[in-house]
Amino acid sequence: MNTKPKTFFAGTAGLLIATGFLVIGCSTISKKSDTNPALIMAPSGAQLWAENCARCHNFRSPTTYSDGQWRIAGHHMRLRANLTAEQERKIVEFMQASN
Amino acid sequence: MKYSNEYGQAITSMARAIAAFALAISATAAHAQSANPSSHSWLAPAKSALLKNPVEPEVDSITQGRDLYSQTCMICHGPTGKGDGPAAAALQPHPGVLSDPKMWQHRDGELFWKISNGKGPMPPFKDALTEKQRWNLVNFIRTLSPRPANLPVEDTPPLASEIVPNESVSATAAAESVDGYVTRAEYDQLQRQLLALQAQLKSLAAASGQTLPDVAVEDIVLPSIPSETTASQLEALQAEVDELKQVADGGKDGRSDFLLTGYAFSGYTDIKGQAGTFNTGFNPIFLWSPTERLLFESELEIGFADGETELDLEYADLSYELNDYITVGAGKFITPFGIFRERLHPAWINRLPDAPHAFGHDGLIPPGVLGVQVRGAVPVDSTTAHYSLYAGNGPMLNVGDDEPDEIGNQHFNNYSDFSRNKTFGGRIGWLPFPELEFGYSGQFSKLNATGTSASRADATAHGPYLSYVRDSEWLRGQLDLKAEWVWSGVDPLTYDPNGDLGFGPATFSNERNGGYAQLAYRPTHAEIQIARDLEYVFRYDRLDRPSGALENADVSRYTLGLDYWLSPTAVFKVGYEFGTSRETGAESENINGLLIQAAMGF
Repeated sequence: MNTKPKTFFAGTAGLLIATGFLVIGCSTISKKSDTNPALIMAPSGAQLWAENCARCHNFRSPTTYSDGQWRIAGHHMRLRANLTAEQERKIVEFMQASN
Repeated sequence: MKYSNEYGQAITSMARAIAAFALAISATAAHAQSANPSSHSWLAPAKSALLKNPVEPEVDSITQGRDLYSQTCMICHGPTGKGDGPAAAALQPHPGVLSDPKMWQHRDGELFWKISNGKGPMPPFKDALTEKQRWNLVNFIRTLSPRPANLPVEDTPPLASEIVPNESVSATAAAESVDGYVTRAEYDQLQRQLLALQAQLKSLAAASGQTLPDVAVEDIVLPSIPSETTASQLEALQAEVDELKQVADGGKDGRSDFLLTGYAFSGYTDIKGQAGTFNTGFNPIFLWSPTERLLFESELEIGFADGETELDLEYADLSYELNDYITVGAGKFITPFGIFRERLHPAWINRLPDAPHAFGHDGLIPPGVLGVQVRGAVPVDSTTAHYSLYAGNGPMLNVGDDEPDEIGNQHFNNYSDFSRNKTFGGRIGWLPFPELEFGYSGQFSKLNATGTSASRADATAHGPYLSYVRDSEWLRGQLDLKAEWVWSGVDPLTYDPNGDLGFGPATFSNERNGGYAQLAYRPTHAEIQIARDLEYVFRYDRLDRPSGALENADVSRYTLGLDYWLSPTAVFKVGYEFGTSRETGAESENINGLLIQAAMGF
């Protein structure tokens, strides 16, 4: 592997930016939990839908697919976007309940 | 008014046909739309509507309701209940406006019933939330709209005359009732008014110290005594319906575990120094999932290249979920390196008409790998971490015997593994909170370098990626930031060492790097529809090539884009690129370009 100093500088800069975002992110989280003490709940299917799908594309209407089709779409997206098993299951359940 | 017998019969059979047709449709749709009321208005049954809210609207309840709201309702109903959540655009009918003061025309019991049972795109929350949670939600929803000053004191059912009918029910009630029958909605409405009167009567009786016998209103049944003619008509109708049901059942879709999806695009590209050209492409995606754990996925890429129709197998792979954290797969799959190739390249997802340098088909990383992969995601506290590992046929090094301009480039369409060496790679990613994701990818290959000064050469590629997507009220829209970079290197070699190929000997340090940063903004909370449908995009991308190579131009671009979303999966994009290309030791050259594209996902 031929690594130039330039590579290191750019890599470090990238990591610094990422860390910056992380810090901003964590401060947002802690602000949130200040206002809602002891109210940490598992996210619902609707919330997971909102959080995960828009990371790449617009929301598709739940009526786009049938229950069986949502199961397959969920499976495909779990692979494509590296979703956790629980995220996939809850999102698919929500879409199936809403179509 | 009197009609002739024939005319009357015609009307009767027409009515029959309409009724039978409606029944047949509902029978066909029954498996998809289970138990959804078909009327436009949405009324809670009287008994449920009059249910008393057992949870006092105190701070605790409202706070808990607010948290539930932001977790389950906000996505559609919006942060302040205006019906403008990020998913609202995708929904038909549109999510209800909970901030409307008209919400106070609905009793707590009605809201509770609606939350519990859902309708259309709104799912039932009966099983997902406890009764207490649903009442907390009701209490929070009450805070979204101002309480009208003239509303009666709490806990007193509104007077019958004050019960404002829901939507169009009572407006049409009089007109519809002349046939001697009442609709379900009218019946519910009457029952509700009756209950309200009963409650009023009770309170009056209590005030005057009298007691009244208990009569359960829901037990009142309207007598139905069909005449002989009606009975025979009903019988004939029933026979027709049975027949139609049979026909409809036969035509029902089979329960196939198959999904055909994909995307298509058409556009025009005019880049300085090249002839402007129209282009188009069609990429069907086939997905089969015979069991819960098995999936086959394939995307075909059908387009035009060099005057011919070209068909590419973009990916075709089988995967099996071993458990919640490990999925194994084999075939040709999109390289899990960075995010553009794997997640963002489809035309209806990519916010600009073209791919960034370094991540396109002639970029620095393989668009696809023919091999095996292992991948998965793991929740870590409230965060998510994920990994992907792959091994596949290694790339081929251009040593100059074909297209000498491109010496030192790696070709990734290696379907028979020329070098008999494999490529290994992977990606790890972390989402400290849902809006932010970042990660790092790397790939290592040993190349066959026969024809150069060495027989083998090491090739590496690695780089970070970042994604930040946030829809917020104070931004009045959605912000989407994506950035990734890749550094690619091949051991320094001397190409054409004996000068046999006519350009050597050529020795250079074969280091390339490139990437992009893209920011998109869509004012999803704007008042005007057209403003909500527009998205503004800015992207910077570049690709640096080794200065000693024959093809050594460094290219960079600033792209401004404007997208008009016709639907959540259909978009019309216009992009203008301010590009420069600079060869070693030469002046930089302007390669500005105009790109137009219509894209659709399906």
